[in-house]
Amino acid sequence: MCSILEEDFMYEKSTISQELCKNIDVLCKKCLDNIAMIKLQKKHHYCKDCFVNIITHKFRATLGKTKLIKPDDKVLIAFTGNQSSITLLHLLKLGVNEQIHKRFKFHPVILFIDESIFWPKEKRMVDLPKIMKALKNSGFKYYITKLSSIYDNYTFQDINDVNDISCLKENESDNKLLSLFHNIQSDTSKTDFLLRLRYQIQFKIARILNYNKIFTAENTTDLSIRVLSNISLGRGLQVSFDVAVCDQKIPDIYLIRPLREITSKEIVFYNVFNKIESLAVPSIFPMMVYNSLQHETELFVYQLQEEFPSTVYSVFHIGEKLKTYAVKENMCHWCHNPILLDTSGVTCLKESMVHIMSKYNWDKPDDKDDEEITNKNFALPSLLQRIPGYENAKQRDIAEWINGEIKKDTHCGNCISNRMTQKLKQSLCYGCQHILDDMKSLDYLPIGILHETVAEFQANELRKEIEDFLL
Amino acid sequence: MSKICLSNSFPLTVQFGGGAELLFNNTKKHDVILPQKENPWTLRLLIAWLKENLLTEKPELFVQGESVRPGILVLVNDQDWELIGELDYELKENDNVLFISTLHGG
Ligand SMILES: [Zn+2]
Ligand SMILES: [Zn+2]
Repeated sequence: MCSILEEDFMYEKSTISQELCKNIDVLCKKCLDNIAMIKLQKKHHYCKDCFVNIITHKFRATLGKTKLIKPDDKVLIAFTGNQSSITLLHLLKLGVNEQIHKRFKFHPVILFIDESIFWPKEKRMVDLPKIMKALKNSGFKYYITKLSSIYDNYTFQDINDVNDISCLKENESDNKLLSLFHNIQSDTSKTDFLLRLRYQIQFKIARILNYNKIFTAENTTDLSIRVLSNISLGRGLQVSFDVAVCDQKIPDIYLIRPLREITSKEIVFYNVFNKIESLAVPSIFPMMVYNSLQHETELFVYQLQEEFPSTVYSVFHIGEKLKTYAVKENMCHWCHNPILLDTSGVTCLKESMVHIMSKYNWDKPDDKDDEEITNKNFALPSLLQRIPGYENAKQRDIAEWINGEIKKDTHCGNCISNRMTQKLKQSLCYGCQHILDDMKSLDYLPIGILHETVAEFQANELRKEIEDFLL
Repeated sequence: MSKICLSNSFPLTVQFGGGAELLFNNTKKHDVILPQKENPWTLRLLIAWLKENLLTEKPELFVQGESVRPGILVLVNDQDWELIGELDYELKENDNVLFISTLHGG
């Protein structure tokens, strides 16, 4: 009660002082001593020290609430180089250097996923070394990988020489990645797909390193924008996963968002007050991505925020309340969020596979004209071929099964058209299906992603056959 | 408000961050000298001046009306402009004005 009175009093006093004498500085509402340097939600004024303390406290409180972090845990820190991820590194560094009773007992290990292939070349040359330096200065162990590692079994490296960025130089996989994104028609789907790929890489590498916890640097503002974008993208039922403090999309990995109670404005001021240089990681597709729904949503949120300073919090809390009662077994293969659909349609899978294979036998890639090759429906047979191990014993059952089917059945190749894509779609949630629809061709889809999808078809089909047999 | 500055130039440091520098010749720090004026230089006037004189790319990504686009934060000597009168703030010589974008574009 006392604090409420105090707050009202302070608010009134500062408003008056501001109106009457512009030149008199507003004092911090917490220590009532120092000059206020930041104004939050149009009413809370804090000095540098009190503000930085508040942020540190919020960060520790969010982590504490999860009750998941145990002493000696190794945690993979997803570092992008953006402002929030720099704040995250700084907060972690403070935490591990605290006095003994407050010190973090877990061990952060950083993962930097290089997306600079999307940046202008001059920007790469200048900013990549800066990012390397920031990694080095963090004092933590760090690994580096590229977004294009989706084509290279998610390989990553640990680098000690910060001046050596040769491992990040352009390669064949980068070109595939560019083609993959080039093939996606809308900026909206590009942005959405990129988000999903990032998570995918984080999960894969966490698994390879045998870590079961990942921290991401997503802040309140990011997440409130995500809530609205998700709803518009048909991912409404996934909202609670995508903004949760602890997101367990994947059963064996906890994705934790320790900055989720901190807004983007707070991030910027935290960095300025701590004299941390922002690296200014440019938007993924500079000057081009501005046509995306996500960016429009971002502008919408910021615009509303000007008039209604609690917008971000309100939207964010709505997102928290949208709880899903999902069935764990039925997860989307791309985004790992639940698919809330009936999958009984899987039965026609076999038929499609047969069609695909027969199509492949009859029409060798050489015979196709350009238009057919770019048509995604014709791209799948060659994709099947590219699956590693397809020829190997490991995959022999798939091959045998398909061959058996071909002998039994010789459907016309013309009607395969959409069917394989349809099957692929069934392993995806509504939101990811939309991304698939937006791809002009599936040619550059990473084999890993495709492999898992096809393997799942096979598993489902076998299960179905066994079930039929038992009945 | 009579003439405060006796010299015939008005030096200022203008900085950009969070990606906003991409719109200003990809340069983060600019030491600028504003022309001498009868009336005091305010942030409102500075934004208009920057748009005319320093901006190299797409103005719509920086300005909106007479202010900056929502999502771009303004700090004067590390202080939130919301505490000092926003557009009406009267600049002093050698002030350090920082424009920092929180927009991602996705
Ligand atoms: Zn204070
Ligand atoms: Zn999905």
